[in-house]
Amino acid sequence: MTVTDALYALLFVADAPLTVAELAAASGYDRPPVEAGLRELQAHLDSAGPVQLVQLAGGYQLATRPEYASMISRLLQPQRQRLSRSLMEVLAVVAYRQPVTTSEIETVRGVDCSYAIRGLLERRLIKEGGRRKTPGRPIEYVTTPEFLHQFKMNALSELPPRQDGSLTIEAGYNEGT
Amino acid sequence: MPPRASQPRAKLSGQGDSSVAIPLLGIVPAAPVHVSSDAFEGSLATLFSLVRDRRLDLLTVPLLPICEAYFQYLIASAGNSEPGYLDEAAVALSALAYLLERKAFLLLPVLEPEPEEYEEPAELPAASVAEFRLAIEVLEQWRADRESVFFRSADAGPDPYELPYELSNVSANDLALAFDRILSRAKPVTMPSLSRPRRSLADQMNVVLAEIGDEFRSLEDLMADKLTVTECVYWFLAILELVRLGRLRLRKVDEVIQVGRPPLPQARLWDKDSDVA
Repeated sequence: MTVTDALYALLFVADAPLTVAELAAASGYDRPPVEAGLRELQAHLDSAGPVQLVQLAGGYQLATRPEYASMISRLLQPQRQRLSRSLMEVLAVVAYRQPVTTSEIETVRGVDCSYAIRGLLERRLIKEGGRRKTPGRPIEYVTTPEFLHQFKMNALSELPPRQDGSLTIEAGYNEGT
Repeated sequence: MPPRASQPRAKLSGQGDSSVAIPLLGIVPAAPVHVSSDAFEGSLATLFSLVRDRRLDLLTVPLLPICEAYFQYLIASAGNSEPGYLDEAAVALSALAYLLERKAFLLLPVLEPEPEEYEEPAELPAASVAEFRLAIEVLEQWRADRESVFFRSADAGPDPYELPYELSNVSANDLALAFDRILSRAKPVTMPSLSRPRRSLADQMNVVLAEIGDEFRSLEDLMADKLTVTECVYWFLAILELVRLGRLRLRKVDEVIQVGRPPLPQARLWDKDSDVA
């Protein structure tokens, strides 16, 4: 049994992205051989077959290739959840300015955002990240690993640039937590 | 040595400038002490009035000569037996005490109030969602791309590792009908109690196993009429769990569901390796 085979087996049964540390702990190998094994497995899967190894939400996960999407959709008939424009705007504000409070989001959008925030919380795209140490101790919101997963990102640093070309993530935010 | 021109002076009225009118302090005239300094010249009563009304800076008027003049007044009037003398001296003393207190207060060091430090309020972001327009478009495109790939779902449905259990020719509907008949014969719950201790299904399973022998018995006969509805439910759940675990078997004979223990040893597909060993 090679490292690549062991990683393939672990990734096959996992229903969520596995980090290198989790793979190393489960397989019993150190990080360097695990990282090398992941590269080898990715190259092997890229060469042939309907499955690919993708890096998402800070981990690795097996996924089908896009060309098989139509037939898989016919089989699984997934329920797509559309995100409205208001939800996308609130999500973008939280993603770029996290941790951010409700009043700050509403300052940016200029309208009440409580409904959109509740919708994003129910979809597990954002979560409460604690309370700010200011009068009133308002709740701060941050994005979740589910957000990275849903938008095909591995880390918040991969967020697309804004209109002014800047990408500002508050320092101290523990990504993926 | 004669005093300098700028040196303040105070003297009793009548000893020199005695023509200065002495205003009244209330209804009693003050002692006739005349004050002369660069900032003020007049009687003690006038000085008192100006200071009280905050029309004169008391710091510019030395009080030591005034105190000395008042002291001389007291000495000079030691043998005075005129009525009202003591009132006059008391009024002057009160005025002098007031001036001393005011000046002492003015001479206290003044603490400059430190400017209060206010934490700079966090700069609120400008009300503009337009800066996110491009990012939102990219994110929507990424989300659409993400929907074209599929992952192993976390919702695998019922426990995929649940072993199939054997119901032979008994269907779930048969079991439901049998249970309905059992419940129709059961006694109603006579005395519901909120403090009734919880019963373990494992204990009930042991009761069922002890009741069922090697022979198949009718499910409805097994649960005698003496059982209440609650007890019937416990019995039925225990039998279902035992069937699921393979420790009881069901069969239907002439539309009657029977339950009994499977023959030993239990031969099952997944035990084949152990049997061989």
